[in-house]
Amino acid sequence: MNESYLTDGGSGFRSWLLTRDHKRIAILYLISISVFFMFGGAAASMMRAELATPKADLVTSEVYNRLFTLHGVIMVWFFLIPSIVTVLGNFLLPLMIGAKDLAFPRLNLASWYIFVLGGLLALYAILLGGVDTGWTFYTPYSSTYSNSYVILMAVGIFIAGFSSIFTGLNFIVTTHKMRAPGLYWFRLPLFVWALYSTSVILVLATPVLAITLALVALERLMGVGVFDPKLGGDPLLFQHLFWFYSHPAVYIMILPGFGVISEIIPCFARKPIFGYHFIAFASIAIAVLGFVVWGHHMFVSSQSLYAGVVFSFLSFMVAVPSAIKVFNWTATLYKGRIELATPMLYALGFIGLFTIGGLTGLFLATLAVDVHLHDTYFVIAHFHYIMVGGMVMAYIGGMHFWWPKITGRMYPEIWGQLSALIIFTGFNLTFFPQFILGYMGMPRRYHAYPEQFQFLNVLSSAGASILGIGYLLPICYLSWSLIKGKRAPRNPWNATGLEWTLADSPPTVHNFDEIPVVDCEPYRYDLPEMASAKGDIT
Amino acid sequence: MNLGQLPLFPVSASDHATQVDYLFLALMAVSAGIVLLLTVLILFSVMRYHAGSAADRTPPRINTRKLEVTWTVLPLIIFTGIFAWGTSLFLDREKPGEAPMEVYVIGRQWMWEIRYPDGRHEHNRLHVALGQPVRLIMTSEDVIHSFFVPALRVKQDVVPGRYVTLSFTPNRCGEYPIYCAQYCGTAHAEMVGVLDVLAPVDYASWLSAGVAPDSLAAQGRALFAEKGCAGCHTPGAAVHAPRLEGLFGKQVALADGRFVTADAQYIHDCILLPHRNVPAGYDPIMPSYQGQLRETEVIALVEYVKSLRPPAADMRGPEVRRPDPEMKQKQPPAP
Repeated sequence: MNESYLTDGGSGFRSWLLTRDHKRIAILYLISISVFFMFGGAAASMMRAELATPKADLVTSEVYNRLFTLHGVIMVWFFLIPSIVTVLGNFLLPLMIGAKDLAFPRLNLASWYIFVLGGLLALYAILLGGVDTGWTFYTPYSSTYSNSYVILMAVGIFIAGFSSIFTGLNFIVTTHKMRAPGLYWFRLPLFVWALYSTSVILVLATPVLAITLALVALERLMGVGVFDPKLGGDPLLFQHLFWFYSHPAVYIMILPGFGVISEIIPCFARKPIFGYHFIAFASIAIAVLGFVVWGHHMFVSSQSLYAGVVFSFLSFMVAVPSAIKVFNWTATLYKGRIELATPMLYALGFIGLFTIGGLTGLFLATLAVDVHLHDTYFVIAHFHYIMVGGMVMAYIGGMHFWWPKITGRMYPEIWGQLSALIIFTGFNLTFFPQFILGYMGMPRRYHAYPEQFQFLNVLSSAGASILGIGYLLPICYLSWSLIKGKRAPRNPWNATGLEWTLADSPPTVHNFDEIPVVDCEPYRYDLPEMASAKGDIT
Repeated sequence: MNLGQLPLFPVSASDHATQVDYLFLALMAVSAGIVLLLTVLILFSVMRYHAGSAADRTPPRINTRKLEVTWTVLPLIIFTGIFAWGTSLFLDREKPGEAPMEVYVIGRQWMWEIRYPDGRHEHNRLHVALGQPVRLIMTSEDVIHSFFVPALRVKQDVVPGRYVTLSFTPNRCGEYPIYCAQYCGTAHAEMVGVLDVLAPVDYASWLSAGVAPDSLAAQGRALFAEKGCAGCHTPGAAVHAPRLEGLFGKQVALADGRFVTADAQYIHDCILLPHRNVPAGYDPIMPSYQGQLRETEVIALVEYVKSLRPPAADMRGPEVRRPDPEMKQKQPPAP
């Protein structure tokens, strides 16, 4: 038997830092984004602590403004956008399509170095004194007025963007050129479809962000009038450019989550996924439509009324493919053999929270209602339901699902189920009150607020502490399992997919002993031998 | 805090706000329905079809394609309906009521300055009369702010370099908070104010209290002389400059062939960014007043220009000539 990728080729620092193995690079990403997640989470905890009382008593407004900027920048660019794509995507894409590695292994390693360099610059900007513009960098505040390290932060994000572009290119080429014999497009796991759609967005949208940040730097450093009206520029131009990237970026974050859920649900419902083609095409439809809805962030920005009407309509249209996915997942459960293992609990939690996030998106797409809700806590609650309730639930669910494959160890099931329940409860307690706060009119980015909002804010802060414990749990018991966990068999869930049926746990360096040949559709959970999620035992 | 009086729904101080509430509640009903449906379906499946249960699992005889089309088209119809409702309400709001009272609002880090046409001004407090349509004309002196009155369910970003408007008709007396909703820097959370809706009697006594200052237009006339505008923009001036009498609201032909309406935005830009819109037939010799005039002063000048009636002898006004490419050569060069 060959050695696993974890030990083959040495285990010193050098063997890891110079590796070209997609699986080891995935681990490098896992460690780095976990560190960033801690930073972003710490900032969030301090904000929730400050908001427990109406007065500004814990931090000053200067500090608070830096905290929410730190939280937004780190969580969006250095956790959410890379998370599933670079960790699970990197690890699983070659395994799922029966390849030895990604198409460009060296580029893959370079992407990680670029990502870390960008991240370190962003952290350096924070250490020097932080940035107080918010993660949205609205001009002319960011370009002319802010007295903080805007340029350094922008350079960090600019650099990290190239990591996104290279990863996207790598995944697109890999999906096109490296599929195993017989693995036609409609035999691909839906996770691959989701990664593919995500990669297309990464490649097309990220350059626009780079251009935008470069223009902000140009105006800030040299006074070239692009956005500041005093220099003859147009502040709304920035918003158009920024959201042209940042709205598709929302789908960069959530689409891979859809992919993970589409793998977990059929496995623990023991049924082929319902509406395979519809889910696959819904990913593509979301990727395409996601590019033409950016203006719904600007209904009250003084853009033209009729632009608002068009963007509102398109935003409703992009909700349709998301609804299709939710209905198909639910239909997959019907007449299945459902096991509520940890990944399944996370997946069901995902469906619930993502549905609430999606439906409240309709409120915000509705013009007259958005005029009231824009820039209030309703928006905060909405996108946290999508990003945290949706994306992070999918990420942690996926980490549990593939943990045996990645590490060769089983996690403790009871602790896993407990963490899923705590996170679900804590999340709702944190963010549901914020919907009500938003409709009451509490604006976002306020460190002090009128007393009438206190009760709901206290609920939210209490929920945040539960949520914090919920996130610490998996970090503890997953680390524990690395040493003490039971050895994982090749296919602990009796799942379909090449990574389970043909690759060891953990896989060997080249993944497969021989090139796999695929001769059937994915998700054949309807075969008699697939009736149970009890896997083989080593 | 008394939980019985816990506010969970904001007060409503205009018909529009009540309309928005209806739409919001309709959205709530649709959402609650969908969430309930999914919850029931998921719980039913999990309980009935958990692994090891003896439930019947013969594949259902349903047409998959029909099912998919149903749950594609049904949301599409519902979404289109909500879209239409929200859009019509949104466009209605933009129409100002009968004879609106116009009030200027200037946002700056970190306060709201309110300027009434009669020359009064105050900070962080806007007085309006019950039932009187109001049209706010707003701009910012520095960064983007956002004028947000939850009780009216309206907000509008206040953008530097632009005049943006916000219309409403209050239908309930009282004091309602105004927030800045667009993050604008250090003291963003302190950029709050009060909308004071007064009964007509109280409003009249508020109006008559104190010494009435000069109207905005009169303040503008003083500035017009003081800043030297009058040196060029008066009949008989040595410099060839556009006449301003009767200009407001007219179509202006520009040197680059465009036509624009001489509205407040146009006057504003001509003062601060004179090279953006050069009228046809004139040399671009107007100096920029960027940095020399505050937005409040520009507003006074705009009001002054607005107040200038066309001279009786020349009712056509000075700016309505069609552009004539030959004309430029015929003009004597400016000294």
